Amino acid sequence: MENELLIQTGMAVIGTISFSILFGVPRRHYAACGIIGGVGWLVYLLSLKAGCSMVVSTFFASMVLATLSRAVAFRLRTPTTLFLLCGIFPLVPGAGIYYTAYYFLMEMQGPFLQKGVETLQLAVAVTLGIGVAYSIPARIFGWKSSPPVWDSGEHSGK
Amino acid sequence: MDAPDWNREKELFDLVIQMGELILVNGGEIYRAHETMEYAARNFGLTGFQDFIIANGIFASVIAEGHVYSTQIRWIPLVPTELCRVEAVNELSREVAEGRCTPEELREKLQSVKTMRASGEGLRILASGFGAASFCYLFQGSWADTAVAFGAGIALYWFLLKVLHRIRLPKIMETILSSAVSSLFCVAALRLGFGDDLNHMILGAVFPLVPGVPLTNAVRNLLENDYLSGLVRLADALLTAGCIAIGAGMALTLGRLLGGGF
Repeated sequence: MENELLIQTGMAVIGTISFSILFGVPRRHYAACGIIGGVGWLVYLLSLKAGCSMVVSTFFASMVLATLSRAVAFRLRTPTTLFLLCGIFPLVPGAGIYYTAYYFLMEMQGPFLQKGVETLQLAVAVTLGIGVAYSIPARIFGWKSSPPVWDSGEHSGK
Repeated sequence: MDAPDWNREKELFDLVIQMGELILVNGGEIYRAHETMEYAARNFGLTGFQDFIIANGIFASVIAEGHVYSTQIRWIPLVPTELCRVEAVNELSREVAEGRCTPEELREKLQSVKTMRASGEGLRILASGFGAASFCYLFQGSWADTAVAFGAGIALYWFLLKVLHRIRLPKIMETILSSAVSSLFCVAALRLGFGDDLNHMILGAVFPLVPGVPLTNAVRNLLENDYLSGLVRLADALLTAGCIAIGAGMALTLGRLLGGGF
């Protein structure tokens, strides 16, 4: 089980780095993206193991991951999106939306509804996780010394 | 006192719009485009700057020649994300704020940002393979499935970049065809005795296309009360997912017709 945890986290790191390449992230940030994605997936697995549901685990994982993305982004003076968009990839319901569309086309109403609702729940969970992480005051990350534009933008989330 | 140079005002406004456009096109958030444009406008001394941004459009106006409104409208296509450009514009915006970059320099630098790429086609094709393989494994695929997904992911991006991008097709046809090609790869692999579970292999194989991030962005926009952007992105995500499923379904049907048993 411990072994499986390690392999899964490693796979999440590889997956995140792969998608950061596909998303055109600059080379020097590949490692940071990978680690953030791996940490997110690890939190998700541990939370599942602790008995939380898939939705709650996704919420926790995306919260930790988004907070980490902000901290790293502040340190490297880079837009948070770079890390967030890639790191979040293992958590977003990509499989869910694919299966939803697949069952819809195959006229399987039961699985279609079930997958559709699950996909929506997961997307909302990820969004709320990001929302909570973005409402942490920017000051905590030590972002005091720069022009107000990056500061106000970061914590208003809009 | 000389009369102010109205042409210069127009040029500066154009630079401001370009910055917002580059951020939004390449996957930056709406608020980042808004803040960058507003800040650049203030730095350039443009007065009365107002903007309205949705997922696929920018509308902005400034007061020109001291008394009339000048307006620019840009349509923003929903195209693949290229995050290095967002970072570059962010850096340029900082340089402008600190007075390290004149408008002339900015114009030149923005031109080079427009064609900037962080990685070549070869690396992207390889990344697609690794991405497909790792997500096949994360969704409970066996090691054999993972290996097939790796090949299918490479086939997917090779086909997308080397074949489809050479012949101009509508986006939905591109998605359907590339999904079909990588799913067919999995069907063929199973027929030749590689891999255990076709569903896991196909899920991994099409994962580089799957619109999980656009879907999440759509929900984020909706929860931020930006209903217009949310609906635009939601429709795009659902349509993309539908196209992927059509492609995969085509491959499965073809596999069944050619001597079934799946």
